[in-house]
Amino acid sequence: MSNYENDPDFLDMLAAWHENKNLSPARKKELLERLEQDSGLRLGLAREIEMAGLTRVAQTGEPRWLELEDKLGAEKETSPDFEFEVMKRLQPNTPGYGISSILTFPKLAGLGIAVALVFAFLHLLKNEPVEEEVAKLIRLEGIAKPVDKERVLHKGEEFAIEEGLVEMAFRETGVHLIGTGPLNMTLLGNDRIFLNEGEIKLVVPPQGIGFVVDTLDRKFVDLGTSFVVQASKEGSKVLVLEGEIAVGARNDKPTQLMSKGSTADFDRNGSVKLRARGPSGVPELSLPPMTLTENSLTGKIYGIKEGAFPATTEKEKIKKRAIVRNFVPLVRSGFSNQSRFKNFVQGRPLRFTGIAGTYDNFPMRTSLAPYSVESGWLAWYSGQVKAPKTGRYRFWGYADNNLLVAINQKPVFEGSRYDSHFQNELKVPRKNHPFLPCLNARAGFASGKWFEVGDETVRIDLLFGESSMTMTSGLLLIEYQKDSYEKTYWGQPQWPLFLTEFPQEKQLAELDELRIHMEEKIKGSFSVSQDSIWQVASDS
Amino acid sequence: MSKFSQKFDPDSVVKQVLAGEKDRFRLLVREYGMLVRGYLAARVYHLEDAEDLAQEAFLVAFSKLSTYEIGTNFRAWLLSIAKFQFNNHWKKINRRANAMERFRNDIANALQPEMQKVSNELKQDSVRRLLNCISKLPGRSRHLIRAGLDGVRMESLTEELNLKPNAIYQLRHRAHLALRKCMEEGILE
Repeated sequence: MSNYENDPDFLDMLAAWHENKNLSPARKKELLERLEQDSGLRLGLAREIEMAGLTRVAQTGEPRWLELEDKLGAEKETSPDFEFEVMKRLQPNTPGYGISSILTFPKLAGLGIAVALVFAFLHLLKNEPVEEEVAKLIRLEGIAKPVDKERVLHKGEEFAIEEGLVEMAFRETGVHLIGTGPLNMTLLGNDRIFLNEGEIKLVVPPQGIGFVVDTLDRKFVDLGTSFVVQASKEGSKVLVLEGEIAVGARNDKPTQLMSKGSTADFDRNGSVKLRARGPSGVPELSLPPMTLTENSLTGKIYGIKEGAFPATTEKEKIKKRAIVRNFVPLVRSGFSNQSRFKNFVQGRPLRFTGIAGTYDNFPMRTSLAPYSVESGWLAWYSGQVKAPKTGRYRFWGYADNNLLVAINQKPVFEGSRYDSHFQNELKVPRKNHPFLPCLNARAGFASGKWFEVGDETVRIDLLFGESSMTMTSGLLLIEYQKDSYEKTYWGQPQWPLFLTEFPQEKQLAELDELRIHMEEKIKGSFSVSQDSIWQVASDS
Repeated sequence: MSKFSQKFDPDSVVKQVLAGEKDRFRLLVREYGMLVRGYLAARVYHLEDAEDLAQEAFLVAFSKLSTYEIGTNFRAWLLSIAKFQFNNHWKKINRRANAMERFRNDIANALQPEMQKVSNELKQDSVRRLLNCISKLPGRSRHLIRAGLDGVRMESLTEELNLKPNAIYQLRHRAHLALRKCMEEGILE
């Protein structure tokens, strides 16, 4: 126990360090004097700060260092050190991994399964319960034969359901598994399962990195991600929702990395079909007629003028020029400070028709060009709106890259990607729900805080866009506290799309296509409801 | 701790990179990435800036790799580059820093020898154990440590845990002490 945890100076310095807590000049002077005199306090504070830094980065996964990647060139997929590296990233405390480098994935997997099966068999012979508790059932739905919902699953135990949905959490690794029947799998340990039949989705937190799903065809090793595995008599399939997995063959063929958006089919003869690597595949909706009416929430799309900055190929410099960075002062000022707009170009006026799907071609279709594509674009919608009912609401959604909503000039929702300036600089209260898939994002849905609206109209400001280049997607939904919603396969309520006008027939059909795409690909969803429309009163 | 990890020899990798196998530099990034990122994240307010600086540090290390003396301490050499990147970063932002940022820098200056000592104390093996140690923390402490990752800020935490900010700092401090012990000894009290 530290001597400093009850020391107000220590706590004030931590608050100043971590949260920029505002202190008076006199207090700051006092603290610096104390720091100068007290070497123990200096060391205690240094240790605290160092550890905070380490824990911050340890949990964020590996960064995408594009510039470094460019310098190093393409990674060799069949690098002889690959397995070594993957194994190193699995379980650093498992002594077995250090035994010999000739233990390849297939051999390790075979050994693991064999050991687990022998273990289970021996326990069966002894007719004694297996001791080690591995996972706990959280939810069971639609199961014909009753299963004890409080049940704890043990190492070596086979779990099977003929139909319905099961949700379980692995105790040590924190891995979250949702599966649908017919499902048959064996829990080989805290960090490994054998999937004989069925479909499961895994969300693997940092402490669960290295979790292995074995099927008869392949081994899927998580490297910090969320993915879906399906096994059947014909073979197995995998869809990587986010992050990266390593796929190991049953023979000695090289192991392969798969990343976000990749899907692959593996049949029993060993053939592999990799699909859809790269773009998300989420449909882009066509723009409905953009004629503005008095019922439209209006907006503008902005980009940075071409040539506003000297040309560069340095990706980090480009990142710092992102247009979204220039919107931070606007949000901080309650949407009044437009001092950074002088370098902007505008497209044609926009009519808000919801945030849903991909927007890769949006700048071009809204006549933003020419603009500096590398600095991205941002749409800003603003106006007075009236909620369909009085009461408490909150927003749900996610955007790659940037999404922010303010009510009466105060941000109530920020659902941007992890590296967005909105997320990192504005620090709008937000909760992430990675187990509820949103479009194709690892982050799943984000939710904002509840806010109350009465009979009167409120001002809404909605910012959405891309930090650099053109790969953009987003979804923005709204929840009314008193309403209940139908739930998806993963238990996500199907909140309605946030809209200020009910969609016309063609747009409605496209939204339905998007919903079906989400349901088929990631089992996510949303709804469109006439009862959830926020009517526009008059433009601000 | 894996025996494989203990055998990591940066010098042999450096030689391979210098011999033209530049792809091998990734091994150094994987081995020391968290250390460098952690070093910078401890000193820079915005995590995004820390990640940018860490990449820059590795870019510099890659371009200056021939200046590293084989047989000396690669880790210390790399951290000295990270320190240089941080100092440059601070010089750049100092001009537009507000009063609290300047105070933060005053703290950082006062702590510089201790921060260096703490960084040097941190063994490479211990860094690798961190994630495993976090997973062993009791629920509330683990939640606090994970809060940064989940984008949960102090305002949300105080509301969620019904605790005052100081109590949260105390809890987090205790969690850090437990983590340090776990990283050093493999034991979580």
